[in-house]
Amino acid sequence: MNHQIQSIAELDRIIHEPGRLMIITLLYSVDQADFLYLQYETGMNKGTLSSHISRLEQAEYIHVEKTFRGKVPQTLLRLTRMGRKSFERYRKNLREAL
Amino acid sequence: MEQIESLLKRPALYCNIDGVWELGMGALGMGYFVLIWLQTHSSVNSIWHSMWTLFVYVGILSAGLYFGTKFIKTRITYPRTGFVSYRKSSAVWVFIIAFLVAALVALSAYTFSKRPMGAATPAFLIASLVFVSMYVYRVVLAAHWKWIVAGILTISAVIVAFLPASVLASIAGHSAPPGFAQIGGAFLLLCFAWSTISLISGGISLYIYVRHTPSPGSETD
Repeated sequence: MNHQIQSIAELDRIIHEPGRLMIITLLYSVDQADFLYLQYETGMNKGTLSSHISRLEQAEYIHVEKTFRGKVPQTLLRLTRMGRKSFERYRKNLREAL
Repeated sequence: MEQIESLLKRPALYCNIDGVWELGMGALGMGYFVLIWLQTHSSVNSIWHSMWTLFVYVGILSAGLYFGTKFIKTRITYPRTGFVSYRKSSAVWVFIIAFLVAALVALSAYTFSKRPMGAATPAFLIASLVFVSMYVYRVVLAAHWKWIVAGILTISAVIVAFLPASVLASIAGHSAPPGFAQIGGAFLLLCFAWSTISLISGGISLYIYVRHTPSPGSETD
């Protein structure tokens, strides 16, 4: 039981938020994806998604690249090595906690 | 935890959200069917037996597929529901499981069938069912109505495998090597059937996708 409680305590608070967890989980299985894809899969509005992305970028879990697709702005997102390791640790802790 | 596992699979299922994977496979299969049909039903001296024709044909087919799928993705899919580029991960175990399952099913069909079968028929059925398993893994999990398509693919493979040898040999044409006429005819017929099914299924997916997704808009709107 103590081990379970410890696992819960060790859960990464940045990833644990449902919106950010969705973003990190989606980015974990791909090389990179754009803002529109994350919006489509998560169903979040642009403001909410942007704020979660900013938070993850501040934590250096994701790398954000502003570019253009033709004349249309495109935001490409990629999980950093640190973000990938943090997510793997989060999954391990969550599995132990449940 | 289950939700996380389910979410991890979403990007892989997104690959065929617009039916482009099926359209590509269908076009590839149809392209090879036409080429092999022309080769087996034309004289040995015709241009279809020339190595240069083969190179040019395959080159045009590959270029058509590459630019065709790219066109649909960049003009229809990415502006509507976003862009994804995939990691180069190995999914060898998935194919091993698919192969084992298909081998088991084919062996059962072979054992319990009362009809005499040619030596190549079990191998043909195994190969067909491996493909159907891959189709289920890649396509059906994303759109459940595709189970119907997987069923049609399986039934068509079984029907082709049990067609009379004379029918299959006539499809294979006069230039099929002796002893390979039956399996060659079966391959050719199945190639045509599956390509047609794949093109229809992909076309329906593309229609549904375009109809049910918002028209393109900039992320800065």
